Amino acid sequence: MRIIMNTFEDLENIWGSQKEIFPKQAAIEVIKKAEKDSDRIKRRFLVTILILGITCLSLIGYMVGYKTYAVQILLVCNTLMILLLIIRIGLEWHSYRTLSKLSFTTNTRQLVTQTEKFYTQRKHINFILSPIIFLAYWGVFYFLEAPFKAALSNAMYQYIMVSGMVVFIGLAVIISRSIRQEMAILDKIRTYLSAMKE
Amino acid sequence: MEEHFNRLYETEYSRVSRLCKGYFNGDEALALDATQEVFIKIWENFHTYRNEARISTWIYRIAVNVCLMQVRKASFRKEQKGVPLPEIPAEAPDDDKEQKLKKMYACIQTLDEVSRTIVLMMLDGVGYSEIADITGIKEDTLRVKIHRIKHSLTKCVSL
Repeated sequence: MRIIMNTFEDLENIWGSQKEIFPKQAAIEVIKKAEKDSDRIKRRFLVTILILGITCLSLIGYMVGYKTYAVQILLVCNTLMILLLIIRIGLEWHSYRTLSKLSFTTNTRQLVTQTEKFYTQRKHINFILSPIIFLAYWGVFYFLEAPFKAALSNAMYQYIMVSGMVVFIGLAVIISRSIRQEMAILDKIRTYLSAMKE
Repeated sequence: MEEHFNRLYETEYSRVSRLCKGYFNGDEALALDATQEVFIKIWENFHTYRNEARISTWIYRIAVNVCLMQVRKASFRKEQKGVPLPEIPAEAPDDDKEQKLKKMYACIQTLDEVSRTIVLMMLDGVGYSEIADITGIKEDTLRVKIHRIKHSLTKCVSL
């Protein structure tokens, strides 16, 4: 039988005639997954903060234990790294708080506005703070190169240089991918908001 | 609370998954993943429901918000991009209906995200004031939009 679809009511009829979809799992499974997922997100942020915190404490321990604060260049570099780590911890905590405040029960306009705010903040982090942190790490690495060469064996020095480069390149790739993804999402959100106003 | 959630899960599952299918070009697997995510959010926020809106409106709000988020993530990963609907055999008895449905999904994908959100609710028979409540678009603006969307969707499907 040929179905005519000349009016919107015809479309509604076709749409309404679709077969029912039944859940493949019980509600209790969804509840279990919800509890697991919420823990997982919380855990992910807490693990990141914990790793950064441990690194920060290790640097402080290294500074105190090896009395590196007595050497001016090491004192400056270590302090800078510690400060940057504290800033990173602060940013991670801020992102976690902002994300957990996003409410899916508000209307779409409010959620999209909240999300736009979140990604605009991320844009500032990506384009201002991340490059500063990245350059500062690079600077620390550059300034420590001479002391490393003088104090370490040739093999250890080569290892630190090569692994340091690999880490920097890897970080640059990860950061740029994350920036592209977040900017693409921000772009879509802004298009959505302007379409709402039309 | 768990009993109430169970009931909602049974009664609203099909409606929510149909709405999600509209966001994912009729792809049932992606739609069911999104549907599960919707019910996870419903459960997580269940204690905040205050009877201020009808429960169906409240569920639609969550469903629309979750599906939009999922589509954005998926579109960046290009997971759902270009994923065609399963091919329908030409001799199938409901051939014409399935073809029309397939065309409808394709036409819905050509609409912008706001229009897609609105049309999927209209097709499910959600009223103007409820759509305004769910999307946060003023009713006057909504009426103009709906008129435009109805026209372009009908035109696209009949081509």
